[in-house]
Amino acid sequence: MSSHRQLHVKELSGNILKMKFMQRNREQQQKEEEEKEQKRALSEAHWVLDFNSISQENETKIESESSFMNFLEGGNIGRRSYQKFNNAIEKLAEEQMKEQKVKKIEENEQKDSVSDKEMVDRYKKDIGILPTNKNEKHSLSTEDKVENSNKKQKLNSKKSKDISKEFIKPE
Amino acid sequence: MSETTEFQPYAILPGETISLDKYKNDKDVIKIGPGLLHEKQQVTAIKAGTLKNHNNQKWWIDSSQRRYVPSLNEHVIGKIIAKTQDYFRVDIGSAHSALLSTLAFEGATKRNKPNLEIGALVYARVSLANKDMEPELECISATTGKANGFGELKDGFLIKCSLGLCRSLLNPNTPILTALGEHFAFETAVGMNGRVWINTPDISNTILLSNAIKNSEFLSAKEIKQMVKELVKQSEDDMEL
Repeated sequence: MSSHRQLHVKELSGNILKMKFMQRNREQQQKEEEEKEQKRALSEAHWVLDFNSISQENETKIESESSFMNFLEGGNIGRRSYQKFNNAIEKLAEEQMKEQKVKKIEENEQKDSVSDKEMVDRYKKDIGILPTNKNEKHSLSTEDKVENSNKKQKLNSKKSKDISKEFIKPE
Repeated sequence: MSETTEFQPYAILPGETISLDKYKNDKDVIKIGPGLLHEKQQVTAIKAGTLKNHNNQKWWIDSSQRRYVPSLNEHVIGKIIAKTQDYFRVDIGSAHSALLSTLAFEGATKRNKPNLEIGALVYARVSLANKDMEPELECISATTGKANGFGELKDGFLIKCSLGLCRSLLNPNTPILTALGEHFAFETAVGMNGRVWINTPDISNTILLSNAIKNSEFLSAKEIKQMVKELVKQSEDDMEL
């Protein structure tokens, strides 16, 4: 770089180079080059994980909990009273029991209903391979499959969300 | 889930790995509870006990121990061991004592704080549990902000038992408490930290109940009924004498 600059300098006379606008210009160029170099060094310093290869091996998600609270069979009522010893507590226990029963029923219902993710998977199977690229998406939606385009766009938005979760290398 | 084989709970030792592949389902998340460790795409047992599951979605090891490790939202019975202007220091049987803010009671304000003496018992909910920090307690419900049974436990008697027994006592259909409830009028509070508080109008009943609860740990439902029957008969005979 310095040799390049020296060549440049030789072409012009010293008087011209002393002029303010010439100096300013040169300083600016120098600054820009420095900035570029700095950015390049920074981006090289970042290391990137090959995220896809790891996550795809284990598809089922496993969550762990440290408490027994969600693993108690048949409910969880901490305070109880028998034979009207403490009426307030007896009423409270009844309420809590009702609440927990409703919760359990809801949980079972949820298990039977179809989740969003499952719906997407179903569509994937029926319609075929989904485009992963944004450019591809446009080309596809402009194609003759007008009926399917709506569904597909929905799917695409899901896909693009997934992509955004990955680690993006800063530029 | 009809397509998978019925799971039978079995005894498991620390170090054994569990294959969940058979029960895997793209649809849902598998939850593993206390005693299980998920590492390197393997689920390993880290406690001895019975491996149980619910709907092939929740897996946990039912084990009994005496050391309490606080966990978020668990209900515990604590004893006040010190108090300052802003908080009570409460012993909940864990490695470290817990903090209970004086404002974490129903209707408590800066001017109107609850006045609990040292040695008083409180029924509280763990509001902060972190292995690197002191646990914190609250005497109000997480959702409604009301007492909901939390607060000071006046009178009564506190017994200590294993965590496994406490968990079985929390079940509304637990055989021991329902059997005792047919014969006696009493009130209980069960903490997940291995403490049970009993309150009856009569001291002799308190002694009888606490002994019955302590003895019930390794008895079947049938044996418990028999035991309660005998105890009731015995106490009636004593009354006559």
